[in-house]
Amino acid sequence: MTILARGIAWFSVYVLLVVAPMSVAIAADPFPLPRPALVEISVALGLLAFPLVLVQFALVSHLRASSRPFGTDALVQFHRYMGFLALAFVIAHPILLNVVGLPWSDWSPLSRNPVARSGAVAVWALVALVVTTVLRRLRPLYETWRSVHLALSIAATTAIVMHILAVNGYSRPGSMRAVLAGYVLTFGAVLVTYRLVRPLRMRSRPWSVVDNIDQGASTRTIRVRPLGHSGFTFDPGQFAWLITGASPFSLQQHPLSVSSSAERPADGSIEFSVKALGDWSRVVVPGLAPGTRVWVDGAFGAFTTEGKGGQGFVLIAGGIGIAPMRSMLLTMRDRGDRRHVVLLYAAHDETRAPFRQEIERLRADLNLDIVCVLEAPPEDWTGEHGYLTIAVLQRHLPPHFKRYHYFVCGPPPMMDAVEAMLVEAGVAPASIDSERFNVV
Amino acid sequence: MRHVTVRRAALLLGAVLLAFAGFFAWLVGRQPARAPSSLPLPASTGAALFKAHCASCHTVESLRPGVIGPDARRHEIEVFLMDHGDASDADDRLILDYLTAAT
Repeated sequence: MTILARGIAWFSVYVLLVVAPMSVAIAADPFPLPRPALVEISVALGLLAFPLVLVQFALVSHLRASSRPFGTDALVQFHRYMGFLALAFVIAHPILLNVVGLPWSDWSPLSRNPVARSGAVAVWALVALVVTTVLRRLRPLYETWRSVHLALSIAATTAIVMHILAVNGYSRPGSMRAVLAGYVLTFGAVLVTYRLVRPLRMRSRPWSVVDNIDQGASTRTIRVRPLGHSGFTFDPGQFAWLITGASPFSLQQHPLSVSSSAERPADGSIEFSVKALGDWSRVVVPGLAPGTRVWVDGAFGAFTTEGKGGQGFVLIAGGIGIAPMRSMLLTMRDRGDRRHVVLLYAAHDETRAPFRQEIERLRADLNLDIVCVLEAPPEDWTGEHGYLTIAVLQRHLPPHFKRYHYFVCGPPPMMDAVEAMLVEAGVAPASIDSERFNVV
Repeated sequence: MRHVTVRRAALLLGAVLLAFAGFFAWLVGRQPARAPSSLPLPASTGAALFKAHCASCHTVESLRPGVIGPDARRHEIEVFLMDHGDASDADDRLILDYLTAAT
């Protein structure tokens, strides 16, 4: 099955999961007489919000099978959009009932009525979930946010299930009870597998830090090797979760592109390159001394040259976005891949362009053209300077650029601009891959 | 460009789900509507109970034809009231009396 077919299959499964409870409700309609249309629309939104919220757990549960066709960043982005949609449905549900007479006091989570109380808890937990996620962008307390996010998710889901059972409306027939139980058990199992079983398995598959090298430009490269096991294979450009702390249950879990070759050395070691952007990367990463025990969960993602055809590749990196590109280039070198590669590497200045010297040396082994675009170049700089513009792109795209595959990784504003410029230049959107980790 | 595809898919899915919610309301409300009675409803304990327990989801006009008249499904409505909602069985009987008395 092709990647596209798998993607369509997964999306179809998702849509079916979302509409299934409502479809069963239609078939098992327990109400002997019609009710006001606003009430039924309200109920329909509630019946849609229930699966939307439960399936959210699966979207971000490190499922490799669904990560490959879409890319984990796309799944996380979809998770965020579906979170907003579920919140909109959950808020609209009581508002429509308020319009037909439900007292506004039922929005209180302290209500004595169990139906109103469970509903209100679900609404406010989901509001808190979204607000804390949006506010996380202001201050990157990632680990704290993850704990709060999980706790609120479980609280909201539990309250929704209690609300549906307390209402005892469409959930009254046995068929609907079976559907509800199936959803709770299935996605509860996903949560338990992701949060409990997987870390337990990882405990017996530790890794050890071999090197922790300061690359300059606030970037460190950490080499880790598997202890007592063979590690895992990965495709160039993919990422893995690096887990630091006392155990695999630690909240210090961060998605990082593997920056080393997919042709691993005999000891199975791999490298991650980390730029100091948040509390973990500034404080914890520099302290990962050789011998430190860590855990690695991988590999994930669709941002890879593996299986991508075409005459060659155009890699466009900004700052630490060079990490997955380095993996692609090193892998091509190790596999003797002589396809043409154009690397456009944008950085503020020479000191903030990690791996530049190393990649320059790869010219000897690869069919590689490098264009470095510096925002603040030194006085003797003769290369491109300023921002990566469409003029710069057009000057350096290969003659048959439409036959190439494009990879873009860097700061989000740069990726947005570059993608738009590539499309404007005539590159097919399907030929452009990008990797975004700041979508939460 | 996957993020653009994801955004479009999410928007499309949201629209489809909203349309499906409307379809759901239309489908479950297809039963023929009956003309409401022009007689005023007596104020009673049943009326207060109806307002407290039923009015947020049901109108008197939607339930009354099931209680009285040639197509009445009184027993079905009675069982429904007993099984549904958080009113006691005694309150359900008062609500049923209220709906009947409305004629």
